[in-house]
Amino acid sequence: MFQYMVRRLLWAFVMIVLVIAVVFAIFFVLPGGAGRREDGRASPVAVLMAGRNPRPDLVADIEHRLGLDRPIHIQFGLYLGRALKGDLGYSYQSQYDVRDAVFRRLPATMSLAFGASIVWLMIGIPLGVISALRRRSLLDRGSMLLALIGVSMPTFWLGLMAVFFFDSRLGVYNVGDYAPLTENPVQWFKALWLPWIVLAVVSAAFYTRMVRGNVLEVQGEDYIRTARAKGLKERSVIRHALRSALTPVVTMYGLDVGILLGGAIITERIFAIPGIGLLAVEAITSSDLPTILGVTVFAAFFVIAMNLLVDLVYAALDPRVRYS
Amino acid sequence: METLLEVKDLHVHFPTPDGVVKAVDGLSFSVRRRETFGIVGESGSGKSVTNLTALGLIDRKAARVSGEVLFKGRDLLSLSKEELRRVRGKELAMIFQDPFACLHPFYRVGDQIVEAILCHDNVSKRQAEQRAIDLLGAVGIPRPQDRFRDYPHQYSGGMRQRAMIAMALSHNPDLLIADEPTTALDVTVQAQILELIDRIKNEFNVGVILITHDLGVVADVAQSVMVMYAGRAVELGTRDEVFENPQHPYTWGLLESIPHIDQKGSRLIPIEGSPPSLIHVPPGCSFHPRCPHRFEPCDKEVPALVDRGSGHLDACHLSVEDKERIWNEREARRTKAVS
Amino acid sequence: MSSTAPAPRVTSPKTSGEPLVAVEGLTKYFPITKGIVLQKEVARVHAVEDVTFSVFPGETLGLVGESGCGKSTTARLLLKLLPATRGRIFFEGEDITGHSRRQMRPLRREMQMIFQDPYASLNPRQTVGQIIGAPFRIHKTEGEVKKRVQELMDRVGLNPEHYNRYAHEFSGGQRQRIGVARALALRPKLIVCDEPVSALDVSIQAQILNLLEDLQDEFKLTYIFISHDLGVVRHIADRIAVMYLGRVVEIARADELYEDPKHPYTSALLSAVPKGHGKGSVANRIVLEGDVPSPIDPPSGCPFHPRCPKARQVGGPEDGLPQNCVHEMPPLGDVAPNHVAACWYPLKKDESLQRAAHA
Repeated sequence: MFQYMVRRLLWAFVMIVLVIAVVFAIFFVLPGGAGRREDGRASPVAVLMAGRNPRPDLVADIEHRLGLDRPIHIQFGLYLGRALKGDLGYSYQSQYDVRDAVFRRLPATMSLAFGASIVWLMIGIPLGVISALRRRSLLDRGSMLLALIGVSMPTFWLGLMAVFFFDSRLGVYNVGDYAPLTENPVQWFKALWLPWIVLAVVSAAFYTRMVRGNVLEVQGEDYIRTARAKGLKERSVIRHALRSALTPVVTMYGLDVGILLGGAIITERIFAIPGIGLLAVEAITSSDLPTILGVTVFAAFFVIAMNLLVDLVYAALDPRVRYS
Repeated sequence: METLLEVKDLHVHFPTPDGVVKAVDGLSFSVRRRETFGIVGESGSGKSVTNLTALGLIDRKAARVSGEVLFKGRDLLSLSKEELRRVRGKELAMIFQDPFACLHPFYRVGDQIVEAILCHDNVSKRQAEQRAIDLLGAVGIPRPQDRFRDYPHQYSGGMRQRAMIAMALSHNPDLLIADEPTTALDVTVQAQILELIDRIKNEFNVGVILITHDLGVVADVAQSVMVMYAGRAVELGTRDEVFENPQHPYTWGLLESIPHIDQKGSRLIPIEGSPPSLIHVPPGCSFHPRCPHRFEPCDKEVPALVDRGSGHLDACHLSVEDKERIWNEREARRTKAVS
Repeated sequence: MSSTAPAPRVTSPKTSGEPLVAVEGLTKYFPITKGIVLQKEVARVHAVEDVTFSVFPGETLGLVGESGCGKSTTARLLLKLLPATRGRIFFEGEDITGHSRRQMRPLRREMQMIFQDPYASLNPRQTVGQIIGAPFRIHKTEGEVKKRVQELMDRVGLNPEHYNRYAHEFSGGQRQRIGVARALALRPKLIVCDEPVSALDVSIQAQILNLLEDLQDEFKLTYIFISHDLGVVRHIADRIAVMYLGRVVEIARADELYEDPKHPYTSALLSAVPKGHGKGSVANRIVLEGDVPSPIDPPSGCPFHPRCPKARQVGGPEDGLPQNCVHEMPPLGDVAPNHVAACWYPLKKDESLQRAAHA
């Protein structure tokens, strides 16, 4: 078990390094990126930063400061070294330290991600379980229909519709009034309840279907028949079934949350939640390269970390995994 | 010996979009204490469904069940779900074919046995654990106090089946139903498990129903035998009677088509055709399309299970004299093929 | 080792001449690795260990043993579906151990396999015609494929008009016939039957066994028949090799093996089979306790020694067992004409064994 964990940790580390390398390559090495042009012309970023009058010596100075005049592998090495220590660079454009910027935006994203995930778990799991237990009932067919609709709705459309409806029409919601939990809990909730629902709809639908499928499959398993043959109360039998059926849900949950923690860009944009996603959008529109880089690395880190966590939890739940 | 189980005219039909599946179609038999009752049949014969119905493990909403299943005098089919649950595992226990799939992979073996104990008995957890360890020892698992903590995938096939038996015995049931308990096991392990079941029958004073497709197994351990085909009993009698003096063409076919370890390589005489669909059961005697001795009434009248004397019953239209003649002819033909 | 096939120790009652297939010292280990970054092999599954036997043209060699004995792995090694760790394989006298895939291609027409599970071994997305016709297409034979497929279907007892049906529309027995037809398509010389009837109903088993026998006569086939069912094997095999924990422990002609087993394991195995005439209780039959040990850490010396009732009977200094049983692996020695067994104390005829306690 210990070996399993250590091995996973090492692999996670390797993955992060790889991600940083790929991101670096995309942004600095590939044509169109921030690095110096092949024909010797200056880096477009440096030119941009030089402002109205990009005098060559000013541009060269900026390039030097940004480290863009060094060989590529040195640049990568420096970036990697700093990134691993947590230093994601500095955005000259917006005048902030990238890491600080990300951390400032993190609570909002986390609120959005975790809040939505709780909503979809609270809907998806019970609905899925009951649908499976009362197969072909009206409830089952109804929930499957809803699930189908939910899965089919693109988040951006749903979000826009929700804003249109609840903000413009009904006025029960106001876009852009986010307040952090620690400052103003009521406002925090008022800003988040609608994006939670929007974000949760698709996942709830998905989870309902998945849970239903898992429970149905497990119900046919021999060990469930044994549990009944032992004379266990139906409640205990269901508990046995859920233990098996819900374990894969843990895996899915971890991965989904991991992705969201990297910023639910569309949702944050539509509802003006000041999270990492919105930061990314702002950085892209203003070509703020260090920030874009920083956000990407951060998001990747979260996905990898959640992946790792999920694997460990799975091993705790399924004894067969531990001993292989 | 007292009669523990009496099945009377059991019918279990499953309506499906394609038609009604007549899984069990008029079955009657009885089982006594300290007796091993063997039910022999191939897939689709209804042997498993019979016992699952007795235990109440068939979804009564999906199946139409009629008849009586008297266990110690009470009709199990008329009991409420809760009453049945209290009987299951306590007075009437069942073990299944694939011990690997039958134990929950996420829980320790010992805990699963403890759970079985606690669901019918109000003892402390510690007492239940001790009893579970004792049971594991009683079924021949070495170092039971250590194996108690293992997970199912850490047990071998034979040990898992022993654990299943231990679990089934946790409340000293009166009747143990073993559904193909050795089919998934190696032959040396199979012998051990059969011997264990035999020993338990005497030590724990239970009746045993042994369901199998393996005639050899039945011949070795059963006292009474019932041969099933397409949801009905076609022959029923003591083991000696059925094996030495079989009265039904299906039984003859089975006995002749199985290669025996003692027999030199003679040509096997298979039963032609394949087992019928339970939706479109052939009219009259359900075996008639495959029977080389069919005649006038076979496709019109369902033969009743008739006692020809000495408690040996069979469901065939042929007269006793005809059967004797045919059986001798077949025997002669077989021994001729050997030499 | 010479580059010629090993001389056969047990000849066939059916045919004479050179063996069609032979294996010598065939060994297969599956590594078990541990380690954080660099995976180091810490243990091995000794799936097949030093297996040597020959198969003569036109005969059926039965390969019997319980689960984990290595019989299926041996068959796959022989057909070169798995790479061997050690040992050599000969086909028609030629050493094919080192053959590349390209070199093996033409040989694959000559050796085919029928699998155990008629439900899993057929591609559910293909029609029967496609499944049986696949060998023709792969080896680019000439002539009309469909006609030949239908001939095959007819020969194995299927209705040729079902050419376009899918596998799931057939019963278990019929699906196994499809497997047989597929194996037969290119008229191979050797067919390995890996538990071909174990998953079938009893009344269908006999049909398939008869079919296999008829085909063997008609097409002059050679079979290696793997099974754990000793009754079935006695019926169909001419010679039988018994395997235990990856090793061959006894080879003899079929009748002799059943009537006069020399290796204690064979005897124990035979005694455990329900005889079907109900004489004698189960308890008298049991000679072995416990389960087959794991092939990861096989016992030293003769792998059967911890459970061997004969070793216990002979007695000795090593915990009640003879020294050579515990420390030296017995070679496959001649114990009777055309009968070899790997045992230091082979049984005499009609010698009965006492039940041995689990060591």
